Amino acid sequence: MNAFVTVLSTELMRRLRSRAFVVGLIFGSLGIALVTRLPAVLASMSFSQMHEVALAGPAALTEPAKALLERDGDLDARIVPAPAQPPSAAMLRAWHVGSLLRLSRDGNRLRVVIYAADPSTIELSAVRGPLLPLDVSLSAHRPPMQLREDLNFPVEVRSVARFQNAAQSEAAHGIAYLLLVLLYMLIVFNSQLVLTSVAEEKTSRIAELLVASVDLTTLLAGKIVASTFLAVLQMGVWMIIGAALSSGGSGTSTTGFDAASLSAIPLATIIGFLAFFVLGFLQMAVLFAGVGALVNRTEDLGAVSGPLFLPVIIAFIVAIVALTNPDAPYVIVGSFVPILSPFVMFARIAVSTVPAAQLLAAALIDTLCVVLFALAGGRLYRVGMLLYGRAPTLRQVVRTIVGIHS
Amino acid sequence: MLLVEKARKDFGKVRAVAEVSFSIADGTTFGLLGPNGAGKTTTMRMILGILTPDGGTITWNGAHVDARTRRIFGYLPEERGLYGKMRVRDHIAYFGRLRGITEPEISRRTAGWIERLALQGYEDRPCAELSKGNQQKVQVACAAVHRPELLILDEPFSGLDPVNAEMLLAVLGDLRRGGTTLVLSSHEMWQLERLCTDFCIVAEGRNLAAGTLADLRRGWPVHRVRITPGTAPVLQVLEAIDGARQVERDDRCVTFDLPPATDGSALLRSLVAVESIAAFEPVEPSLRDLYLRIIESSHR
Repeated sequence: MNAFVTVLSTELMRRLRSRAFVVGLIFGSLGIALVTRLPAVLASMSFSQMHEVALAGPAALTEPAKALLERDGDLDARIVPAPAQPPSAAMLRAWHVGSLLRLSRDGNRLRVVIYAADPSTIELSAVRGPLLPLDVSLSAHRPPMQLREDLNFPVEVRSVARFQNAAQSEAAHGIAYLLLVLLYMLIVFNSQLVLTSVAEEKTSRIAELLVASVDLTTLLAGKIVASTFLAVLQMGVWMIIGAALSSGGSGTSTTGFDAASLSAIPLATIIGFLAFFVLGFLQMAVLFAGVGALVNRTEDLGAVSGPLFLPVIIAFIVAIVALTNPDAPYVIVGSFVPILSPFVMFARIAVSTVPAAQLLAAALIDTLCVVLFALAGGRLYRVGMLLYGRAPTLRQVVRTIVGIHS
Repeated sequence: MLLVEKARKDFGKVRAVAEVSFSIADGTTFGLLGPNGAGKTTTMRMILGILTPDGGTITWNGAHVDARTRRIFGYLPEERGLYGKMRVRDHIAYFGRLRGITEPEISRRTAGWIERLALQGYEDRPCAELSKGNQQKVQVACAAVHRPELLILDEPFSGLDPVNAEMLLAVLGDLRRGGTTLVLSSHEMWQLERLCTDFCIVAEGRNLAAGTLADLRRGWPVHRVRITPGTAPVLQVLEAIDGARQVERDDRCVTFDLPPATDGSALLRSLVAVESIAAFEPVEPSLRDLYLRIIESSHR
């Protein structure tokens, strides 16, 4: 057996038997399975609500409209009592529908007003087409030429949310999408930097000199805060470059909205973005610091960071879906789940009106998680930084996190 | 004064330090000796507060070691490491700043250490570009830049060439004269014997012996003598003594371990009777001899 084959076979066996490979393989497979299935699952959940509409108006109109919409529009329509006032988003949520179609008769024509939680999701043709027979049935004794004009019977879309029209809503969605991508990139990139920095100190054996020189909590805190500042700086640079590129040329960005849209990002969106970025980054950074301290070889970094990035990827996917359906129950629940929360709640803030109590609750939960993760990550960090030569077992890691370590 | 009383440390089911006790007076240079795995590094880490003892107490001037105390301690760990991309000057200054030294003092001290350790010409180079010996010198500077009251050095001579080892010995001598209490662990016995005034020998996490070199020698069970010339009549006389053992012999002299009860005067008379004796010298056992005997006897 020549040297190459010897090296090859030995290296293969060494890698195959390494814990990093096994862990990476298992979590990677789980991750791929989740990432592959999640969008389809979430999309099916969101579509089920997008396709549910409420109908209000005279029974002579709503009854046939319900039948037509269900038969030709592929919509699940339910008849509700006509509200005295324009419906609120809360009413739509209570009815479990995405929009209310108020039907009325305007002379001998059908008139439809759609009150939608998110006007950008409404396709007029999906309503006008199925209801055309109803409109035609109302227009007896009209000349054929007039019938042709009346094919486009009036359908008006009104928003029950903060966006008054589809253009506004689309701009907000575009901005939110960009910011979500930015949020994801910032958190992933900077958490990875924290991980690399801690691992570098561990693998270069400088850790013990540091530990003797400075309190570990101070060391960790300094590292995290410095990373946060760097991340914010990076975010600022990215946003400036993004704005500059958007305003260049014809003034229209490739994402479909112009620089004016970017400059008109609501203050609430900016504050929400910054707040949830900091909370999300802190959650990940302390976890990564703790895990980084367990690494003895830089080549193990990928294996340990993979499982930690998985929830961030899931959070990003859920948040993208949340942009189109911010009031779906699973989105609301997701906006309170640690790690998911910074992404999902930000998506909700960007495209809908989130009750203040929910915002506060999410911020509180995220802050609490930062503290808990800091305790767990800090313990791992303190123990891991002095643990040379061997990787800790899963049991040791768990015991360290719950504070049963020596 | 550093006082270590019945310090104990377990890692899971492994008892790294079973019971170690010693005291170190201010300004002393203390040698902590023991075979690999004896618990020296763990004891040092406990003194520094990096590890919390599971039993016993460790105090510095009567107070438990805390974050404030640690600022006046210095540590050169056995596991060496530097930030490879950081410049030598910045590295030393960084560790000084971590200990609370500010400008312009830190720049002055950094320059002083660079000069003292003959690192001129390397000060603006990244640490990764330095030789192993020079990297070690940078680490010594990092450990001592804040003029610690207690400086703990774990295997400070390992990896150093004789020239740099001599330089380090001189630096440690300067620190001792400046009032720094030094605790050293090393397998280089001759260097410890030159430098240290007090010793503690540990094995399997326990004290085996402690005290000055004279204290350790008091426990030496034999008297060693070197006699010149080492001729056959001399050997005959020595071998006739019950319990006597030849240690070494060369063309010029012979060295024997004699039982403590041996009457030196009577022996000398017997030797003079058979040979023209040029020298009859008592030989003090070296630290290495003492160490080996103590460790050996602990295994019996």
